[in-house]
Amino acid sequence: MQHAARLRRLCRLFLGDREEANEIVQDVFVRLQAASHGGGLVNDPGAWLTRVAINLCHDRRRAGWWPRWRRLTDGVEGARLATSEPTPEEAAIGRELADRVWQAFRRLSDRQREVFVLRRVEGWSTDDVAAALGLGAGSVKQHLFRAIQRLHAAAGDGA
Amino acid sequence: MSPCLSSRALMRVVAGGGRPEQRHHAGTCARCLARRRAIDAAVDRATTVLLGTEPPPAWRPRLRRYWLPASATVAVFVVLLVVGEVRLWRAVTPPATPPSDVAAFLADVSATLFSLDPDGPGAAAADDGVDGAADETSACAADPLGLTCARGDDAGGLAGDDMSALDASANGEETQ
Repeated sequence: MQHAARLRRLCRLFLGDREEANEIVQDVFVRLQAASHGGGLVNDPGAWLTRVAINLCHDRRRAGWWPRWRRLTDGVEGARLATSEPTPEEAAIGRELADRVWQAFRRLSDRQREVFVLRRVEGWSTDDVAAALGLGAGSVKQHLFRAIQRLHAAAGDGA
Repeated sequence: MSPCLSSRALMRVVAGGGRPEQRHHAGTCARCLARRRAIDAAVDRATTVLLGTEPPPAWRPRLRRYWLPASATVAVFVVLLVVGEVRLWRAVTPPATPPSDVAAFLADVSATLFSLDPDGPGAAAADDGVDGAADETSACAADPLGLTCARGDDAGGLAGDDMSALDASANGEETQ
């Protein structure tokens, strides 16, 4: 259960869509079950689940134009109404700051987003992130630097 | 020159990068340490926002992202199509002014077919008698369809002896 909540949060950050994140998490656990039934050994379930979730998010983002278009035109029910009440967190943070940060976060490349989430949200080490994403440590630092630059500009005091 | 690090260098250090001396300086200089903590705090604030709030509806950025290149491609395609069509039309369209002999022929045909003047060339041929007949032969030679010849033949038939007979009978009727 702890993994499910964590993965849902992770996928929502990667994809920016709660519904899609839920679908991915379900898919991840189906794969875990298939792997354990198939006799495959999963030494570190947390890391394994994260890696599978990242790959599935990659696949989802690489889907062709039609699924993207369908998602864009489907999301009427899921879209938040402009007049809806803010959550307590949103009220504390401020809608303007939240919009600015989300805008900056969406402008990051997929890699920058993944590196930022794994390093700063999940608290992984640079080497773990590099291994999970198949990158070098220098590349991870460079992606993180770019992400920090953008998000600092959006959330900094002078923003 | 101040030995303190730039914001960019500090962000590199926060990201785990930077040169060893920069990392050392960022850990010992009170001013750089405070700036580094400010950067860390801003990034933590961004993380809190990302975890604590719902993403705003993403249709606008996505539409901008995907429709802009699509519209640009369509616009370029349309421009290329128009340019190609214009060039093609220029290649196959005949010159605007026809050659002079064709223009003269068309002027003759329109003058013959649409003339409203009773004293025009056809009427003159009917009135002129023998001269008219001579003109008719040349007109027949120039008119293979017989449009003007038919009129000329009728007029030519009346131009000879029949014409004087008509005149005589008319005079007889008047005397009676």
